[in-house]
Amino acid sequence: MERGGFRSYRKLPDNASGLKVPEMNVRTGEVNHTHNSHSNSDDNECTVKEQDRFMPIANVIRIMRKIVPPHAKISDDAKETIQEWVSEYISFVTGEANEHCQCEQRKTITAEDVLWAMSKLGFDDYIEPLMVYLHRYRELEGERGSTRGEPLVKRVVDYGALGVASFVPASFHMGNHHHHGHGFFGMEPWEDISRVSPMQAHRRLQWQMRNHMPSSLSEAACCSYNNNHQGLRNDCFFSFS
Amino acid sequence: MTENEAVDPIRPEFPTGRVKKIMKLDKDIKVNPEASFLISCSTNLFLQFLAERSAEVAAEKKKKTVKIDHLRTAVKRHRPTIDFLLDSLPVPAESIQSVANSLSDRDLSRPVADKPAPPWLELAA
Repeated sequence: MERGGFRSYRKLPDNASGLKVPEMNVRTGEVNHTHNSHSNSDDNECTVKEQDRFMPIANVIRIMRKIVPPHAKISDDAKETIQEWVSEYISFVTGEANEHCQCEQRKTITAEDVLWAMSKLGFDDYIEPLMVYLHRYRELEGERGSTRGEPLVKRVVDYGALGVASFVPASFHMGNHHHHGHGFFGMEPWEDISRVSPMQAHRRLQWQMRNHMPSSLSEAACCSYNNNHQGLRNDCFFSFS
Repeated sequence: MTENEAVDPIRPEFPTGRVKKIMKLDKDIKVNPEASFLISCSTNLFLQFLAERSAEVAAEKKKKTVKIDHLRTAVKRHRPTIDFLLDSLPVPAESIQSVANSLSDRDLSRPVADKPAPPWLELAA
């Protein structure tokens, strides 16, 4: 099967309608044409372009193997198609995040922009685990930069503008959870979040949401994010205890 | 995720450099490390989603091999994904052949309105 076209979702500044122009069609066609040639130099150039445009197929297959049943097989063209779609996804989300970044007159895409793009594009289910990942990432980065351990509470507060607690829905401190003290992302106060996988924390949070929280956490989280993204709301975090 | 993976530092499933290269296909883009890390994580989630839903479709059809048709069906069931993958959905081979046959047999004097819509237009539904 000839590979389909990977279209970068660059939004041209002079395109008032904001249409996503498939810019790479011609280039993709050229790549496919040269890919079928027997010229070594063309093949090498094509190989470099392919490597730059897609995730390594081995990584894609490894992740798929973890998900599909052990007895299931995946056709080669399905693998290649998913490999292309992964790049489409990256380009799509990046484009939206970049647009949000430019709207706020910044030049560098931040984690905040990425999470905003997730919400805007309808991938609300990803926001919660991504917040857990981001928290862990910042914790590890903080450990690399500090010589002594700091309490989890204080370190999150110190992270500044994109404090993960700012994504906590406002209703978290509305008293619904009573004395259980769900803590941070479904953790009990005595638990160390670094020893729980993000997906485990995500599942705990989902259980709590279903049993204690409004039905649409993602909507509430987005509202909280939109309202509070300028700064960290300490009161949201400290009301867990 | 195994217990060891939960304790170990976060290791993205995708190479960081490749993620940044794909993000920076638009040369005007600058991205900080946190953002590229989140993109990598979200891409992982997206890939897991595709694999899971495609496998479900294959199981529904009692097939042991996950094929493109199963991917297409899975994507069409998820609105946020179909919104940006619509143009990238590969056309089924059967549709290409049927179109080729219809083009070769077409009677040009026959009004266009009497012709049935090509099957691939259903992808946009």
